[in-house]
Amino acid sequence: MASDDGRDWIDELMASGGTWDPPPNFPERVVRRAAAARALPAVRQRGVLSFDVAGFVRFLLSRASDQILGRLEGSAWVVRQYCDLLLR
Amino acid sequence: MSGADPDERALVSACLAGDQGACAALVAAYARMVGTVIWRATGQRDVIEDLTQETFLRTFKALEYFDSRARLSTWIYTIAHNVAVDHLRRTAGMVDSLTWRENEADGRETRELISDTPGPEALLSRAEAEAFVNAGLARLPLKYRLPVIYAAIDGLDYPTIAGMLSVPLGTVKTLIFRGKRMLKTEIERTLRERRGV
Repeated sequence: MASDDGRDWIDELMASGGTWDPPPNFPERVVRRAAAARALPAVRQRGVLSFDVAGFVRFLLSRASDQILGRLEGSAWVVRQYCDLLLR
Repeated sequence: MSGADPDERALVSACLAGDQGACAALVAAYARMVGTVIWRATGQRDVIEDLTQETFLRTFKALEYFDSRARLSTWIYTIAHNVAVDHLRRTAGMVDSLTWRENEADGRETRELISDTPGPEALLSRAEAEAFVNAGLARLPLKYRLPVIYAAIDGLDYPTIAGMLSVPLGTVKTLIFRGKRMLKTEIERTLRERRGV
């Protein structure tokens, strides 16, 4: 009952339905829907970027309250801390 | 794990760079198999298109986390599997209320029945046999049903199915073996009842 590739009558019956064929323009429609849902990678990255600028400012101000503002000025320390936070 | 080939990596890189043509190419490359996986897993033709779209939305959202040591196809089919399972769970009873009497499927009587009974393909028309298989599949627990269904899809090998289900290869082989045995037992029990034995 089993064929050379290990498939038997159950596999053959279940496979006989064939495969699903996407309708015309399906890929383009998916990409449009993904773009509208902000699911495409580049769209998401732009969203993250604009959020991160605001987040960075908030982070800077929160740290500035703990540190001496003069020491923060021009320091890479805050940037490094923030990047560490993002990468965590 | 053989990893993504250079074409797959280039496609992923182009998608991540914002190339919508590459995103459409990715969908075009995998839509047929994703739709087939969803169709077979859910058994519902009317949800295929929507769930296939959902699969690719999840794919794009997670693409930046794709590990190129994995095969892109297996990764996408895994997402399709998860989308299908989520759908089955949302549509409730049809999954968890169907329970297989597992002990009956493991007994000596089962093996005797299988060896003594001609295969249904010898007893039934093709349409009848398909109906019996579908009815038998519906009674299998999801744990066994999906591996058996995936194994019947041309183009899905055991290592890919193992990746989709996140289980070792040996486990997939066991699940498929036991699932098919349960299915055959169920079909043959129905046949026996029909013959009034």
